[in-house]
Amino acid sequence: MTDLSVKNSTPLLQVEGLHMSFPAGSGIASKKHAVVRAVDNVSFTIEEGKTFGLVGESGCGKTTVGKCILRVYRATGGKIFYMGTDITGLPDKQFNSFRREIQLIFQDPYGSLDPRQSVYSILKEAIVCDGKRHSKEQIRARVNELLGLVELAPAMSGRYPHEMSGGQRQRLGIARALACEPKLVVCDEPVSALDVSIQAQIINLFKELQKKLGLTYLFIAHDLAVVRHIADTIGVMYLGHLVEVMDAEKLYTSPVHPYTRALLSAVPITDYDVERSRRREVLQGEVPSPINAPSGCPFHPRCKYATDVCRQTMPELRDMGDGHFSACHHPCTGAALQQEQTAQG
Amino acid sequence: MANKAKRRRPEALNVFFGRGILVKLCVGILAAFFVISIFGSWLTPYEPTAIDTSNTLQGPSLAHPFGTDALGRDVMSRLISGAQVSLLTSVLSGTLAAIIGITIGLIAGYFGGVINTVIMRLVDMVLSIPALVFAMVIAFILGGGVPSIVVAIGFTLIPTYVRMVNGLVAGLRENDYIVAAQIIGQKNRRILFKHLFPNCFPSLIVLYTMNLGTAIMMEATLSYLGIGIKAPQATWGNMVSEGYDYLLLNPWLCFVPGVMVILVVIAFNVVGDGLRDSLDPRLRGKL
Ligand SMILES: Nc1ncnc2c1ncn2[C@@H]1O[C@H](COP(=O)(O)OP(=O)(O)O)[C@@H](O)[C@H]1O
Ligand code: SF4
Ligand SMILES: [Mg+2]
Repeated sequence: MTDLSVKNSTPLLQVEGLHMSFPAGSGIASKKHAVVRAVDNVSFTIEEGKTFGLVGESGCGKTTVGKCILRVYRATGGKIFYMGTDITGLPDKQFNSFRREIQLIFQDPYGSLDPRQSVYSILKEAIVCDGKRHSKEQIRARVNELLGLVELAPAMSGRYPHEMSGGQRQRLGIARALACEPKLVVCDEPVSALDVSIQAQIINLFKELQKKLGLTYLFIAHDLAVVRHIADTIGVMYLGHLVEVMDAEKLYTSPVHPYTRALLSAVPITDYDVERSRRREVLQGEVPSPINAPSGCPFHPRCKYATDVCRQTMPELRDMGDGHFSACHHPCTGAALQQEQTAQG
Repeated sequence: MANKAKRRRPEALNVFFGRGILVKLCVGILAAFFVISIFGSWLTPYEPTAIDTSNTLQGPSLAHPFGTDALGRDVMSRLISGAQVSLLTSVLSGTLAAIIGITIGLIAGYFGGVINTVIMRLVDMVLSIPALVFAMVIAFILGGGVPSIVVAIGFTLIPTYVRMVNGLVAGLRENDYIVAAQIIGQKNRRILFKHLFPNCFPSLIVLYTMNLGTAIMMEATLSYLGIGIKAPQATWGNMVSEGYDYLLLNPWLCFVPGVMVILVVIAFNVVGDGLRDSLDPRLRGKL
């Protein structure tokens, strides 16, 4: 595997060859052998203060990557370095010192809030869990400060989750995460359960908080439209594999992986010239089951460029220069595309 | 909207009493049962064990509203004394079972794994034995009397709590708010008691209520069979059993305590059922 970071300073998070398999099904017969390879050899790096956008269709393993980093799941392979420390093998006791520095924003804000706790009690719990002593006034002040950070009125502190709107609940979820003074925040599709009109507000809130508090994000989304507003680097996942990594700015010009190009086709572009000149690539077929993942390139059953080599050997993530990596035997580079276009006439 | 929290309690009450006359009636029965049991000592017109050989097997009269038994003891006083025993044994055994059963269920359900499997197998085993037989064996081993009956019935009821809590926790544990609590660094013990237990509470109230009825039924049966609480202490169960000998002479002796047991047991079940509906947030009005 190529080393993705060539910086001298230690990145905040470094994921190396992450694997996560779950036992598949509950049948006695199938239990022993079949596994779901939810995450397969995923590597990426996030520099402090930056945002890494992880994109892919639902079921491709994005949440699992996040939960491995948070140690909700114990990775079955690979290493995760947090500030240079390998946290995968760390005993629980030692991991506790990092525990609160890595936080999660949930996809479903309602489900992530205890229905029997008020806003105040939810935030208080997160504040006092650091094990230090807090006076009542300190807690009250901190709750108000957190509510202010996520732009909720102090009067909300008496509310219960069922009395709040979706956007307010997600703000509360963010406030709870901030109560732990995190460095790294894993945002697992934090806006996909919200109304479109609210999504932009929450995304802007994430951006402001990053600026104010110097947060680092792993921002997960199932479509490119959301992450391109917030991410510095974008990683595209398919069936447990990371298939392409590139700068967010180069998203429209540089993707060379057929899957990224297909995802991109689904994103509306406001620039008329770009929109007119780009080629639509419609994804065909279903995502195969991760239990019987296809041999070779995981994308080959749906890829129109697939050849024999794709069906037999797994493409490695290759350096395309300028921090751009792609795992494809036949990357759609400029030359290849031109050739194809002239062939089509 | 802001006062929704304050409205929640009355709302649950509305659903509860909205279920009709039967629920109100049963609440009345239980209220009377509790008041009579608690203040019983001041209410008994006669000493429940005072024998009066000149006044045996009397029918109802002003002096003895439910008549007298074969030893001339006042039936009403004995009924009240029996109610005290019923309430005492059912509350004690129900609480004993609840404390032990809920704790085991919470731990087994939250940590899962081998402990959980072993505990649930044990529970299934105990539940496959008829509850009454199980209670009879324990009562027989420990001998009669209130403490042994409490232990016998309590142990019989433990598996019902373990099973319910285990099922509830297995479901609740998957909730994101439990994951969230772990991620903010909350301790397991606190997660159990701060998040899991409160979210099990409504269902447990229902089970507790219904188990009070079951306990009263069991105590009456054990006392009827002579392995429960022994004479001269009056209980509804041994009153039925003693009255049975005079069924034709004075049917009151048998029927009155029997009907009391049935009324109170049914009342506990109806109220438990009503609570289930009113405490279920899915049936409660949503915003
Ligand atoms: N706890 C689990 N047990 C078994 N399989 C799981 C579990 N979590 C996720 N999976 C499987 O792993 C794959 C990836 O899931 P997930 O990471 O949730 O995808 P995404 O977040 O991209 O939608 C899916 O096939 C899913 O069924
Ligand atoms: S490796 Fe082959 S099958 Fe896979 S994406 Fe590239 S061209 Fe398509
Ligand atoms: Mg997901």
